[in-house]
Amino acid sequence: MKNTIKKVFWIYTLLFVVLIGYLCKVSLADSNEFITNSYNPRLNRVSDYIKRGSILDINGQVLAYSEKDEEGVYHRIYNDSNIFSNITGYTSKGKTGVEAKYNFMLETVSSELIQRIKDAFAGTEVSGDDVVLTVDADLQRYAAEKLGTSKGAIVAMEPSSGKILSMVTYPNYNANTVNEDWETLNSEESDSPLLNRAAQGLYPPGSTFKILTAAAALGEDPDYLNYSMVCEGVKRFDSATRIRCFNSTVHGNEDMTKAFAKSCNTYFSTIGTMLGIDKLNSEAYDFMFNQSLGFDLEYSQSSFSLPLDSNLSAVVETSIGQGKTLVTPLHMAMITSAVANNGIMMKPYIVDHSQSQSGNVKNRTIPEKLRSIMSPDIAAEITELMKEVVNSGTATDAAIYIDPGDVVTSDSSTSSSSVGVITGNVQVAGKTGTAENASGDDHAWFVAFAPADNPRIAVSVILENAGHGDKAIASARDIMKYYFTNCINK
Amino acid sequence: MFEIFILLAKYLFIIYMCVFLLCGFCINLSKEGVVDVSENLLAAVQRIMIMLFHITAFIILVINDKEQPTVTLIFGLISLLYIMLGCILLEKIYKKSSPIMYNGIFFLTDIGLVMLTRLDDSLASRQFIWCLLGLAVLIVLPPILNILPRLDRFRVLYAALAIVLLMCTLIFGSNFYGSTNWISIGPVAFQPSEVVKLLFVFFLASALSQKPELRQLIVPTAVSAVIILCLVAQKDLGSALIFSMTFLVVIYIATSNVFYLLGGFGCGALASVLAYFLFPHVRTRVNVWLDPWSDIENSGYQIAQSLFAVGSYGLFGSGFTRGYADYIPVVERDFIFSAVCEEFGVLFGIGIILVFVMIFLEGVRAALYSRSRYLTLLSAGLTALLTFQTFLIIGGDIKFVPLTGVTLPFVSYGGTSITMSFVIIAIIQWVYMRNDMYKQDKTPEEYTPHPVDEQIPHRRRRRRSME
Repeated sequence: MKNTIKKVFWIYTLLFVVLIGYLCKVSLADSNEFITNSYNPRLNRVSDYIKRGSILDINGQVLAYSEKDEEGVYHRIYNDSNIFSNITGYTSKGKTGVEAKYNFMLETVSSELIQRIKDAFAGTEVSGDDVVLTVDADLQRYAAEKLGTSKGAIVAMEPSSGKILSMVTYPNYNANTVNEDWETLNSEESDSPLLNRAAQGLYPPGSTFKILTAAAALGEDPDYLNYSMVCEGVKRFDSATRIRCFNSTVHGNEDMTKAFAKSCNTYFSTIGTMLGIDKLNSEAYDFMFNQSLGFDLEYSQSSFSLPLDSNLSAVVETSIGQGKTLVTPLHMAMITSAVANNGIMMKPYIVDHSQSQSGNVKNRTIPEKLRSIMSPDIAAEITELMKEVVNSGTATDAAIYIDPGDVVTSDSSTSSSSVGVITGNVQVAGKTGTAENASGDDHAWFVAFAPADNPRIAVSVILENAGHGDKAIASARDIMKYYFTNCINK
Repeated sequence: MFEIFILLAKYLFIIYMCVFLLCGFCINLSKEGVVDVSENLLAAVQRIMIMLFHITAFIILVINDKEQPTVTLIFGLISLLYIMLGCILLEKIYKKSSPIMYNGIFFLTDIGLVMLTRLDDSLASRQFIWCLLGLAVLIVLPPILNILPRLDRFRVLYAALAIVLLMCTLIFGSNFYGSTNWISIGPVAFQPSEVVKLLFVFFLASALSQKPELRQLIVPTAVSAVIILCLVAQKDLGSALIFSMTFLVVIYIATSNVFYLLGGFGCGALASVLAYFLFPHVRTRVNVWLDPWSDIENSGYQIAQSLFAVGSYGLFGSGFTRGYADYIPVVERDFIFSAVCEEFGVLFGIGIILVFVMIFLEGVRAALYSRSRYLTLLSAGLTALLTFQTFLIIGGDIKFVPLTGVTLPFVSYGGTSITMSFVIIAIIQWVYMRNDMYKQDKTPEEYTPHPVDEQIPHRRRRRRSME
């Protein structure tokens, strides 16, 4: 009987040890997954007792900070807000952007105890952690300058990691005056400045979609690379279906490389009909259409719709990026990055880490693979196709030459050992696109990455109603060049 | 400056908890004869820790209370007096009792009072009345039990009373928190299942007080089955589970036959699976346990809020009064543990679990050295009740097991529950004290503290005489 009682006690002990183990697991390991759930009221809290943390760019430039007024109430102040507001979001009419998604970090004080006691005696305010973005503020300003006052968006990302280097949109708004401007911002004539076109704007992909059609064809049979046909500028598939190349240009006899470089519609619509509805659907699924991209800020899911009973005309239009397909500039940048990254699409992220006021780094984001959307071989072949677009096709204007004298380095002493500094002719790989738009002029697309053999940056540009893509091409080129000369060596 | 105090207090609370547990650990080592320390001194240190905890917490509560800080201050002082008086008085009256058991329950009671004051003053003052009643029970129950003759002879009475009480609940009961387990008499509502708990263990202990053969297990099993089925019918699944586990433990101790434990556990598992398919409300509970996130607006809301509370602020918590515990529905009853974890930190939560383990160890010790089978089974059964109740509710709060709305003993708000928990402790302490009297019959020297070399042969001798 006594031994039995002892055994029972050991059973109790075991039960509670397991319970404690589970408690640790839930609160320390699993909690990262669920505490960011929007039903957690702690995410929306704003403490009256502490100063909200700042939002910084990757190099420590302050984009948003809090300041006390004479009455001791904290106010949020945004620097260059029109350029950064689509990322930082605002705090005055609810919360959006990083302010909303990273509220918890901004309001969490993780300074060491001793530091905080020192602060208390020194009268320094208790401040929440700073959130450090992956965005380079200089590149962001430069991209905003390139976009100017054209409606549209530009996304630049690092292909190997999914880091967002820059994300601009126009029209934009000033987060400092959201309260005052609220009515104007939401009026019909304002063209939705609160919408972050870069991640939320849905556009027909136009010819940039030929990346998908080409990848699908090469995935089905590598010999498609050598498939040749004669383009007559226009092709009649059946009585109701006729497709026309841009400006009805006749491309003549062409293989995939030439057709891709010249963005031949008849060629890729023919290939699309050969691949069929099933293949296009499965490829679109692989490319993450209609699926969650796991991005931190508000974004739209791209949509692809080609039901099994679609008619020939739908297949033809879809395979050249017209049809019902809609895509966000962010998603297009991710697809371009995946081509640059051996076919592996990375999860896009915009917050690098948070840090306590004493500089301790917390919550560093670890790059995460989203999906392998094509094999490395196909990615290499698409890269060759995209190089030809810049070398002899529709985007010869995208070629980059960097004078070594233009390269800006932060520290003169290290510039002599210029390892990794990119100079001279930089091979760009790209694809143009012209998206037909029912309500006005065509939208101009350009997606690109560089250097083609060792990609460091991928860019996706959309200019609404800009017609053909000269400005889009030039903007992408200049942004990549600026990144190589002014950002990469910092 | 107040913010810094709250921050410092976070660490202070954890230090208090650690010192309290360390003292408890040393006392246990001393009882096992591993080290030789003054148990009285360590118990006194534990009481100081409770006092410091109370004072630190109420400083924060008073400063934080913008509406009526004086009322909170007065409540803080009165409850401090209560806690200190409780521990010291009991130890002075009952010299042979287990002081760490008293310290443990008063620490938990104080954590409950502090947390309730932070959540809702009016609940705290009502809880305080019940705590006063509990203290009275602790003081008067042991002598009453000494006077009462042979409580092991009334097994039929216990069984009949338990079943009648449960039937009444089924017929006249009112519905609270989804279970029909309350009876209202005039303005007073109470939970008969809490009283039945006690009757149930008394019944089992007296029915099995002679070493039973298989045949003699039939009646107790049948009666237990009826009681448990009544609880299931009331949808009081938590109590049904606690009763079942207690039944298994008592049978196991009474027979020392591990097959009864395993077999019973197998039957229990089978019954649970059956219940899952038979009753929709069981199914809902289990589904919510498996995945609270898919229906977070409705059925998953409670448990999700509880997990947010436990998971958001990590080991050291948000700081007392700086959490968001108010968002959890019925936080003062079912989810008080999550609220404590949020504001005092997960480390403190682990500490609370260890305080419970310390109390249960004392209960097991009481059973271990009892002088009759009846007393052994009684104290072991009562300990089992508290153990499984604690395990079920903490496990439910952190989604380790499906949530069953039972209270956390001594901490949760609830009149019947807290009074019955005190009654259970009073009876266990009574058994504990009787063991000591028995020890003194056998050996003339004083029992505590024992010199190490004398204690070990002494125990061996006693054990032999039992078997």
